[in-house]
Amino acid sequence: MIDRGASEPVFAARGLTKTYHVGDVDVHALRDVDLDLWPGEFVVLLGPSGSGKSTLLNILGGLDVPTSGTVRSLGHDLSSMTDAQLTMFRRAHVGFVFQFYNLIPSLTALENVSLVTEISPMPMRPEEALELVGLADRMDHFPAQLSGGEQQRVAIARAIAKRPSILLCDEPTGALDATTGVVVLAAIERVASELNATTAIITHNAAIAAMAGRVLRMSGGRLASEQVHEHRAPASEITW
Amino acid sequence: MRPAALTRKLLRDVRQRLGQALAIAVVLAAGVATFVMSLSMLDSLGATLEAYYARSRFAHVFASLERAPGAIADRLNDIDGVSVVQERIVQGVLLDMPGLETPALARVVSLPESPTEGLNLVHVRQGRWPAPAMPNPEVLVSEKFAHEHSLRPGSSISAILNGRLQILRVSGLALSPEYIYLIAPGSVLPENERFGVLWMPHLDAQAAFDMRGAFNDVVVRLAPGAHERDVIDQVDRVLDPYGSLGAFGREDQPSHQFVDNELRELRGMAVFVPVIFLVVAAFLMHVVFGRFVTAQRQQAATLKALGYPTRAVAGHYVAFALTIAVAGAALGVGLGAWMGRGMTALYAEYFNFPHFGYRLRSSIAVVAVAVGLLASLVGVLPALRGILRLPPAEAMRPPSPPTYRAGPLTHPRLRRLWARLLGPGSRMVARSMRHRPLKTALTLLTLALATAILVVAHTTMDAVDFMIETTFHHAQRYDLDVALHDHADIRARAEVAALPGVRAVDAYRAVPVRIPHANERTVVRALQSDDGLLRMLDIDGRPVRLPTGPGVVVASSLAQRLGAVPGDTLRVEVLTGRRAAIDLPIAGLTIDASGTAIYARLEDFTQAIGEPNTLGGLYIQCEPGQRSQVAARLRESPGVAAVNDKASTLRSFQETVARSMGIVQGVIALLAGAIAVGVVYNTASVSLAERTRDLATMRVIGFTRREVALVQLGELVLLLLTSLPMGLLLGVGLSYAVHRGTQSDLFRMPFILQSGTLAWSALGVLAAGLACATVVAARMQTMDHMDALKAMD
Ligand SMILES: Nc1ncnc2c1ncn2[C@@H]1O[C@H](COP(=O)(O)OP(=O)(O)O)[C@@H](O)[C@H]1O
Ligand SMILES: [Mg+2]
Repeated sequence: MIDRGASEPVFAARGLTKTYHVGDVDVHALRDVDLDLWPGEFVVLLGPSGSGKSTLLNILGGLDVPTSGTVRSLGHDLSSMTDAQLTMFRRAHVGFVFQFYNLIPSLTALENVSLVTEISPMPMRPEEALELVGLADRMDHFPAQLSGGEQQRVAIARAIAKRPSILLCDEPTGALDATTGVVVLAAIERVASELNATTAIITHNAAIAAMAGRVLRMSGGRLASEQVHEHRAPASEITW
Repeated sequence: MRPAALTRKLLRDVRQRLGQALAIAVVLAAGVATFVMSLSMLDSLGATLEAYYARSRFAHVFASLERAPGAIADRLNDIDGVSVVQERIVQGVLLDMPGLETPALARVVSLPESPTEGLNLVHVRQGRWPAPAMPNPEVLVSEKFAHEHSLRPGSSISAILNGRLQILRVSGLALSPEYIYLIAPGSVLPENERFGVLWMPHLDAQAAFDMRGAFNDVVVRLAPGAHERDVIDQVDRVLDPYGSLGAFGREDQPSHQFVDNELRELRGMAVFVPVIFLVVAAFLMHVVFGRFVTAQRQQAATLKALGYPTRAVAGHYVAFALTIAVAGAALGVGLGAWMGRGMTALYAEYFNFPHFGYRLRSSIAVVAVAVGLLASLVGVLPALRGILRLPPAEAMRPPSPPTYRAGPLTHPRLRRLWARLLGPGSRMVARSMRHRPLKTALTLLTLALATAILVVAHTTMDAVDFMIETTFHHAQRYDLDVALHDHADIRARAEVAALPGVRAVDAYRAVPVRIPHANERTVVRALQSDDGLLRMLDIDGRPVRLPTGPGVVVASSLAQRLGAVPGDTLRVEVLTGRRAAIDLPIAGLTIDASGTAIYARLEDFTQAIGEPNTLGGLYIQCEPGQRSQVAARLRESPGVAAVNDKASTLRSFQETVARSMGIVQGVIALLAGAIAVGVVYNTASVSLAERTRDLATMRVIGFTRREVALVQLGELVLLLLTSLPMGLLLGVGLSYAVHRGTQSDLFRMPFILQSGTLAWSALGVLAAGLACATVVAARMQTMDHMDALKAMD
């Protein structure tokens, strides 16, 4: 499924560092990270809180820029792009799923998805995206009328409706119980394979790692280890 | 590009904050409406007046004299810059009106043969043009006077013409640009009941006043580009030998002067009030929008993360603000046009214009909307900076609690004690106010502005009340003001004093003068007693006395205009008798409603003008209940030209100046009330929205509804109470600015501040606050606190 030899990596990060200045203190969120992600790959990023997972994902997704180092993606050098160029990159290629869903409370499920389809070059229909996550019957509900799991599935539909080549999820099950979490993970797994999107999921829940093709562990701002799975477990088999 | 989903979000955000959005829109509308109303009304009234003057060929230069042969008019015609000269006969007469205890004063003005001839064309409103009909002449009667006395075409009036009682027949009712306001000679106020104008055919007037082949009044219309000043000088040169009182231009023509002053007062309001309102609207926009944007940080970051460019996100929020602003501005223009038309109609009726047209120039509407939108944008832009700088990665982070600091009490034991005193709710309020000092300051300022506007609305009314009080009660202690024929001998005073019912009598002489270097015309009022029935008062209401020497007391506004101070000497030219030029040392200043008079000692002044021991009038104080009898008796006495009842003057003042100011004040007070409610409501609901989660948490951990509500209302009360002193102070400052801006030449008022004003304004804002607090408290009762927590998980 993943052919590392024949194609270019979707992401090629070299020497990434990110330093935050908080008062007089420098916080080194990332220290010299090298990383390649390949087309269609399903990666899980594990690591304790504060280890730099979100920072790395934000930089890959063009939400943030590194202090030093380079990121190449789909022919672009993200580290040297302007804010407007990064916006266009996100709009065209990246789907985000956030831990806190970040739905617009004044828009219905369908409208939250339309928010993305209306500005993307080749979107699917918003209804289609919601069907993919199993929410065809909740399209006209407002976020406040949906459970946490349903809200997260709307967020996933919103992320994939643009047919992104990259799907980035930051603790998508962090605010959910196990049963609901599994439903959400299954939704991610399904849309990722249907779109053949390069997918990265951040979690500190090791059980989730079983569904990954590759598991990256972070600690103290560095990539500590890498583990490749020959067989990926389907989301439905995961428990915690 | 405006994606449909964003538009929908926009509309829903507006709808969800409908209360707040409406409150802002109303405040903005109030600002725009006052702007549109005042400017369009001024514009319409100005245009109406101009059109009226042009259509009726209103004269530019006026002069009255004793008597000149008709041929002299031709010499006036030859003056450079004169286009039309109309010589007339104008004569004061007494009318015996049923229902009036003392004769009314009227002025007979002679008319050309046809209504389209000559200048100051008289507009017949009812009836027809009078035809020569001696010995019972036909006259047109000024409409207001006719209405006061129920005169109609066909009615008759008994008048004393040249000492003979004669019956005049009313042929019609009329208006004239020369008498938009009917102001009796020597008076500064219109008195519709006691003073009228009778227009009589020229032939009849000549016969009635023994003026065949002669005239005693002339009006002149200038050629385009002529110099008024030069023409006046030339006219004076020609007419001087014929007892002219000096020619003057429109600015000294009593009716025009009065109209002009009214318009000037309106103009002051037109500038100040909308500016205040728009500033408040901008503040409100800033506060509400700022808090809205803060609450939407997460959403804005999400939009950015999803690939919306910063510009689009910022544009979305600007569109939110503009939606409210446009709605407010449109409402304001509509409201302003409606009020403007109403006010114009009211003033047109009040000014007695025969025709009036209301127009709202599109430029006024456009500027009003632009100013309204600009005010909103000025309020909104600072908050937008936050959106522009917001990193999209913010969307990936959980909302972090804002950082609060503990108060200045660092010692733990002190802090615990303080905490026990305050309770946790009060501490929440205190910290959140301290946490964002700028926001808190802005909220305070906005609330203060609401108070300030009420103070402004109030003080202008106070000034009118004060003026009535000082002028009509403290300064004028007489009941009747009697004008005597010719220059009566000083003994006339004793005769009147001996009449039954008369308690006190003071003699005076009012002499018209000109102040050559400033080209001012005014009156020297020479008083027999400087602490008698007419007193001069200083700004604090204390009596001002005349010096024992030759000095005079001058109205402070006149002194200000002349740039003169006590110690200076004023040179005046007397316009009657021997026309002496005399120097008057200024000994003191007085406030004066008319703002133009000079007060002198009767003995000294009559001596100085070479007419020693003469009088022109008497101030009379009557025994209680004897006023009408005394007036009736005086009316019959041959030496009396007019008897003026102070009570009727006061009434006419209240009907004119006080009424027109009252209308404006009423409108302002109404709008100020709207602002006060708008501001307080917004403050209350914004802070409620901001603290929903905190309050919900308090409920979850066991606080009662009441305790939670007290925290919220406590903040509102604290803000209101803190803002009040600021607001009162600001109000006083703004009132002073308005006071300065609306000063007119005719009515100068001291700046008056009454404690009642401050109390009422404070109460007004507190009442608005209480009403809003009730609404907010009611909303809190229905709020499901568990829901508020769930929405975020
Ligand atoms: N905006 C920021 N400002 C300052 N420090 C930050 C910021 N974002 C992250 N950090 C710090 O960088 C480190 C890595 O954070 P993060 O990437 O969020 O870790 P993780 O997602 O693995 O929990 C942490 O120490 C965190 O405190
Ligand atoms: Mg994280």
